[in-house]
Amino acid sequence: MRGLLLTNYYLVYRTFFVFMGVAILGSGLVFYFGDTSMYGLIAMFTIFFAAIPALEVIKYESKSGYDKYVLTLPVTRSNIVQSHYFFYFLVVIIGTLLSYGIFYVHGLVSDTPIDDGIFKSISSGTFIILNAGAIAYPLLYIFGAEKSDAITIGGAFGGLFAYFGLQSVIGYLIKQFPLPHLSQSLYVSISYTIFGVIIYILSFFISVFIYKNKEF
Amino acid sequence: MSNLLEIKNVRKSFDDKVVLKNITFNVPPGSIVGFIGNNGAGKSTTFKTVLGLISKDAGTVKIFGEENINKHVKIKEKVGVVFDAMNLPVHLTVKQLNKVFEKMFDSWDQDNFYRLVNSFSLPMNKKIDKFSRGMSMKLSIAVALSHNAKLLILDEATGGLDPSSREEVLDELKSFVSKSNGGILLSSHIMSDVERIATHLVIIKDGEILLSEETDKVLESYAIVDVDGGKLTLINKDIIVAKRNHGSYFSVLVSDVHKLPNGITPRAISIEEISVLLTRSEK
Repeated sequence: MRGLLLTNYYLVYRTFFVFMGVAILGSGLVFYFGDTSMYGLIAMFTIFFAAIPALEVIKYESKSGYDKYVLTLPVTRSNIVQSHYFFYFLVVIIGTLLSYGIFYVHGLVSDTPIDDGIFKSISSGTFIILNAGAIAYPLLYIFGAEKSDAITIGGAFGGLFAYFGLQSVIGYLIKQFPLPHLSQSLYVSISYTIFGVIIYILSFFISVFIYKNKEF
Repeated sequence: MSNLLEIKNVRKSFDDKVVLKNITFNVPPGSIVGFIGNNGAGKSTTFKTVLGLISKDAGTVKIFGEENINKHVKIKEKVGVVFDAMNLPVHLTVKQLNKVFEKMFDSWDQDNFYRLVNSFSLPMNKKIDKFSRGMSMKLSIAVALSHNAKLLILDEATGGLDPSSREEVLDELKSFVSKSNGGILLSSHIMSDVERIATHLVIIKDGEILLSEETDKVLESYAIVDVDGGKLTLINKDIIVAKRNHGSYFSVLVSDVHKLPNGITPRAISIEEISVLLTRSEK
């Protein structure tokens, strides 16, 4: 598993750091020129930029034929799927932390504290991008890396739809199980994060099933 | 010691097309099995079936006595694989690849890997996608020989190599077999390579094994005779392995030169001739 993760890292680390640089630069521009209503986009795009290189791993593996060769190495098919999911999860976490970092630095510079609204924006971004991965990976295993660009974009839109689709469910849950000590905004954020992780885990099991039956 | 690889009655179809028809052969310890056949004969499908990359419809494949390599991951530690094209992650350098395989294989032999990399004159810090096909194949072979494997499965591993590199690689393969008493299943279109190192021959055509024999036995007992239709009838049918009609005469491959009738003189044979005759013969 460590060998697989290291391969994933070596395959995309340059792109990852470039994308992170672009995300930081873009955030700076939005803070400088943009309206406060656009701040929510910063979180989503930072996490999205962190995640794109992780989805590229499958494309690179397929292009070089490594997706076939890796099956001859002492790893199981589950290990291979695990490495993809774990790597994607890691970069989403890094993207999330970077988002917080960006807002924290912005707060220091502009004297505005991180409020629940920012927390909600970031957790929404995490949910959407985690769901983008949850949708993209099973499709990549079924249709192959040749369609990876369309699948990545489709996954991002899928994540967005899942976000809006779950709004009423989460609203219902908050009404049914109120937590008076928690602000509603924070409650929503935590709920989205939990749902995001659950959907991601479900997607992992679906992908393992698909990948175990895949012929190369 | 039992066979390193045992393939018995393996069948595989893609939709309605049968691509492997009851394939049976073994790779014993200390052997190099030359696996010969035309493009599309079923060699790569056999490799994929052996390695569990595709499922089989029937039959058994045992590696070190165990079936289903996907369930016995540790077995893969002892199997080195080279496919017909470069299959390593191309964005990595040789140094990075070494670090990856160090974590992947319990018995990764870094010293041997770097010895082979140096011996094959491969650059350490260049990305693999900048390598020529020959360099890539040499790197794949270096990887396969660097984790103390007992069985090598090499699909066209010497393709794309210049004659000098091929000789170097073949020497390494021979040394692997003699030192470790391991075995190699080697497919190749380069007959001189097969003639040089193969101890056993397996010839496949249209998914069917036409010949599975020790190389020495083939070279000692088998023969090709060129005869007209009349003389053809004199040859015992039991020893006719294959025949090819050239119009005015037939080329006939026989399995026992000593059973040829008087007056029919065999000519000197090579593995290439046997292979061509078998793969282009009539039913």
